[in-house]
Amino acid sequence: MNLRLNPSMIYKLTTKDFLLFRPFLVVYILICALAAGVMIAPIEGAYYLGVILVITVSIGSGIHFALTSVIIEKKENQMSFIMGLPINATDYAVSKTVGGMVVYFLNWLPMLVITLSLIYFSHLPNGLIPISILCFLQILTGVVVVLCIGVGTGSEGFTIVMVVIFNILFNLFLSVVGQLPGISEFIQGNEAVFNATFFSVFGIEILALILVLSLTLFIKSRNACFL
Amino acid sequence: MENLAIQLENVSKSFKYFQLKNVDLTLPTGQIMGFVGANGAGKSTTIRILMGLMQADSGVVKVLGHSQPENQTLVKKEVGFSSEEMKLYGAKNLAWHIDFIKSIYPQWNQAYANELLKRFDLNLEQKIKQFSKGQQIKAQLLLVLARKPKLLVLDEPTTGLDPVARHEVMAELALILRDEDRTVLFSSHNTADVEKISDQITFIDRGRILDSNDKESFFENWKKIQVELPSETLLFRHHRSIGIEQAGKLASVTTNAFTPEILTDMQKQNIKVLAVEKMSLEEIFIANVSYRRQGE
Repeated sequence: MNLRLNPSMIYKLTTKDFLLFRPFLVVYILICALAAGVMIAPIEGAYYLGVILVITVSIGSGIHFALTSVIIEKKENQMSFIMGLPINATDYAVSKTVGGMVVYFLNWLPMLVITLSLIYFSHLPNGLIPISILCFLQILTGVVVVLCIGVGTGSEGFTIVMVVIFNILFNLFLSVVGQLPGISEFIQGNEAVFNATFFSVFGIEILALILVLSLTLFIKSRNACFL
Repeated sequence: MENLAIQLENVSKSFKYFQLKNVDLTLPTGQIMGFVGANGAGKSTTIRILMGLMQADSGVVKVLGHSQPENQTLVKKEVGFSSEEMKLYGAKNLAWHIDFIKSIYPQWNQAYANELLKRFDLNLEQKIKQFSKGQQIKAQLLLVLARKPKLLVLDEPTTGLDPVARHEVMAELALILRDEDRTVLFSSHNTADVEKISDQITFIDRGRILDSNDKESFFENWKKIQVELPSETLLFRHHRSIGIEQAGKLASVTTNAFTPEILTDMQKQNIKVLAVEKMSLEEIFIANVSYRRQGE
């Protein structure tokens, strides 16, 4: 097992991915702000349209980042350029999964803050805040899973299948979590309620995220070489 | 003991449809080795193993004295590696790539990078995707050379280039490599490129090393002897000849161990020597491959 990591190189590779994604990151945050703006528009049905748009932008940006940073980099042979640098396969995997999560987080966090702020300062009920946080966390976890599948398999096909599964599971997540009594009872309320149900779902999502990352890095650290 | 930059001993690697078999390869420090083989001969696999990108099934792999792949991070700090399949980030310009590489290699020589920029006629601000293939290869070479590596490994750097671009890249490369003492492993299926810049040459075919020697020895040992026979009887292969092409009384004998005694022996057998011709590296490579394949 290769556990000797090169933190300096992991940081440089992550920064490189951030710099490559930065122009899109700004665009996605702006689109998300517009989409969240639709949510609070005083028009019938605008809220639902806005929610769909915010979810689409946050998932889409994550998939865009995961595919370009892992799959397209490999497909366009830029990974060969990276493999020639003083790193090992584990450094690369850490930079693409943990580093990738950090880069996406820089996209995700402003989107979350914008969405929550608009809910908080608008006519929308503050009861929407807990479920919004859970949905965003679910999207972050899903993007990390896609990154891990991309790094783990190196396969464009498997990664795209994972994207499809992620979308299906997200819809399932929305309907299941939205019907949980501890969540559904408070959605229309004026106060954001962070109860045991919220923290249970939150905890499960964080655990899933840690588990997926750990498993991927454990598997990749067993490879002495890239190829 | 001689200082070895590359040392491969009995290295083997099996794939479903290809095997690298008992590869022995040594490259002394300060030498430029041309690693010649047809497509699929095992050049890239050998290079991936020595760069630590791929693990050999058996054998010893040492680069700059460090075992591979366990020391790949350390080794890649000292080795400049560029391959035909490598691509830079198309959306970014050369200056961005230089900043990235400079941040990784403290030994980066900016003055030398500026000199190479001029020599290669590259624009720092131009996006990589706007570069021609030749310019992209030159950009890669600049990124590798300016970090002043102890060992340079170039895997088919001129493959896929048009003849003009290939000539340009090779001319620049030959100039640069002549500049100072360098240790280089240069793989190619193009013997003309290898002949131009190498001190040592190694031939590989079907996963086996066929021959390895210094360039001059190849040219001294490999000759084509044009002879006229006393009759049209088929000429038998001499122990030092590896190939005979005969048409009537005229024959062309290829040898890989030429000495003047061969000519004396022929004259004793009433064989008239018409000419002793120097072989090109391409002819030597093809004759070598054909001879070894006949023996399999």
